Amino acid sequence: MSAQKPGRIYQWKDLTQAQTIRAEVCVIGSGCGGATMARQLAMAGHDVIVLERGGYYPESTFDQSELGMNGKLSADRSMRASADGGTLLLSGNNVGGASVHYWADSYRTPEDRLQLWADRYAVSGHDAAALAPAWDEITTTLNVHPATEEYHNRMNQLLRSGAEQLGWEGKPVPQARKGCVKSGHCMQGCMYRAKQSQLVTHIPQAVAHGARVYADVEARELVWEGGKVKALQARVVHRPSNRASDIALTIEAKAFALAAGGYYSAPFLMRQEGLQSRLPMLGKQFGMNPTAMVHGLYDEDIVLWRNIPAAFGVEHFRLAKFDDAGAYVEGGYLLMANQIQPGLLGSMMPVMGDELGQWMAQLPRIGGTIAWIDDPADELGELTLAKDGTPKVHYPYGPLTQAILRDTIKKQAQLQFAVGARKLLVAGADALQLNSTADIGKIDQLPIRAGGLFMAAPHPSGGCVMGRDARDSVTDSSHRVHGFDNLFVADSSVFPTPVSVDPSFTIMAFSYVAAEHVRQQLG
Amino acid sequence: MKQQAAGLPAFSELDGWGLARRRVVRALALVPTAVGGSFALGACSADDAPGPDGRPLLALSAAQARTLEAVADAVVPTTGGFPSARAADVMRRFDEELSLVSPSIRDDLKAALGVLEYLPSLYGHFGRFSHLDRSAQQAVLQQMCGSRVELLRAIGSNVRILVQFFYFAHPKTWAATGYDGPFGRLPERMDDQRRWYAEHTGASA
Repeated sequence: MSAQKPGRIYQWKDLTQAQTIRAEVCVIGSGCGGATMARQLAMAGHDVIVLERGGYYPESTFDQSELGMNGKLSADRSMRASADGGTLLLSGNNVGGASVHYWADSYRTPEDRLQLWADRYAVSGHDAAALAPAWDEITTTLNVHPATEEYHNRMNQLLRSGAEQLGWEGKPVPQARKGCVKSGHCMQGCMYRAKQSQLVTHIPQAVAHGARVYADVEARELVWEGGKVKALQARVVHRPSNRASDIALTIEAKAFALAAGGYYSAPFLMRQEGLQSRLPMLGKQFGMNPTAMVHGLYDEDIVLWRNIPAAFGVEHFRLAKFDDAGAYVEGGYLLMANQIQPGLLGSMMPVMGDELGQWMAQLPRIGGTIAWIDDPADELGELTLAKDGTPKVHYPYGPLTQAILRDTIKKQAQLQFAVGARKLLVAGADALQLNSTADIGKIDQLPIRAGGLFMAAPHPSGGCVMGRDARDSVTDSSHRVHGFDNLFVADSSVFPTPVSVDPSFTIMAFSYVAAEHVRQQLG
Repeated sequence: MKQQAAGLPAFSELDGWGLARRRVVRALALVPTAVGGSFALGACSADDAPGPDGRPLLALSAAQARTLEAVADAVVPTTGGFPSARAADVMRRFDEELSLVSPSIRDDLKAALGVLEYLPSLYGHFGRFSHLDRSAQQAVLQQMCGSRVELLRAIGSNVRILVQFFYFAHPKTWAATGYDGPFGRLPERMDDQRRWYAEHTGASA
């Protein structure tokens, strides 16, 4: 059946025959980058289509099941690991992308980071003044506001109390929410439409302005002549088996915007014949905000799994600090309360058998903290292709990264003991248990290595970084891929380094800029 | 060796192992005889034998399923009212999840189970993993997770993490943990993929 009516979301069941789909703009990916781009262009009157490899799961299909929703929303069911096997790679695979399972933290990009990108990587047109109008509008659209007191669960209260005791700067985290019921199921998708993900904001706004969304469609091959992409070959995905079918779609458009996310945009371009040699920076400067977490056992009920995840954030250590001789002192991460449902928490417990049972039998009294590492700019990783064309992440965990990880584990231990934790368990294969502050020194002996700490990486960046020319980057500051007139990238893969805070608000603001350049291209 | 374990580098990519590396490679030479040759040949399809629960498997071979069940039995608690790994459907869920991910991930994890099954000899045990007693199985897993060999750490940690994820996410474990269930205690709404797996393995959706 032909599936080309404006203002609709199509799924695999609607796409039963090969066909050619025409539009002014084809956006590949429907997360924060792609949905925002589609919304901006559709509202400006352009004919836009959005392709999404994952399924379309509206809130009516949500059930808060930890495993069930992981399968619906997460790329490769959260089972992809870095090449060394040490870090789980988390990303979205559904209409709305990772925003459907994210924590809704909405930080504006720190000015020091924008300045770094301008000074060191020659990024232009993305300073705070340029992005402010976007942030102002998105703040309204997504109802972004600091978490109020009622949304601080016990662990967030303890985090705040500990930070105050220790003199660490922190504040309520800006949240994209409206009418939150405190279910604690942000990572399972919010069935109450309270979390303002792309699924309930920019996607329906784009569709209301005529955009067509094609779920269950895998972008395959770009067809180009000279510097102009003429078409995209795609395949319909058989959703039940999650395998590409032989139903081919041809997309013809005047402009193409790649927004498949930090783990997938660079690999998509790498799969295009000849592009890797033309764009040697493809896959390079890859960051992923690895997380380190410390579990704590308390005398009181903590109930980690209810209310919002990150109501309070310790920002004191966001930037790494160095002494006058350039030696690392401390910092390089954001510190938050942890929030995970029992499956994920149990999986991050480094003990087994009856010892595991003893910990998990006290689940309501288990608290914990988590830190997002600001990957050092000189120790970033690289994306390559696995044999099946999917991403393979090589991440070095260099000396500074190791020092940052060790420091954050110490700070997490210090804070949790300060607020009454009876004992702590570092989430890592060595199962280091700490019984008092006197044990914190043991962290100095903890091997920091791939597969040693149990870590997840939810915030990929780089791989299609922005810069001057093909020698140092993949796109220019107009988001255009070097050597192409009408191929753009609009997601976190253009960031030269990680953002040092949750990247979603930065991704959306960058897409405002990218959309403007696409509009200029369309004339 | 064509396959890799759990998102891991090929052996040729790993340097500096010395003796440990050579011992691992020698041990892996034994693997094909036990997993129907799939490990050595790089194939990933499950054999036709049913799983330990008597139902068809879509991703794992019967041998890999037995290894996975042995890992699960070693890892999950046996006291305090916790259900068995079989009661919490750990092996079955592992097969289901694996049948729906990218081929590279499926192949890596299947290969990881093959390595795990034949690795105990490196640690002085006479017998495959699934044939060891529980304390020996736990010791092997602990040694793998603490190994200086990156590949072995990754296999031990990744298989354990997934087993524990599937176990503690299962409703039958919640009473023993004090978890009060998903908000509002709504029933699960199975999607197309869960129904597809159930239809192809003879379970009621």
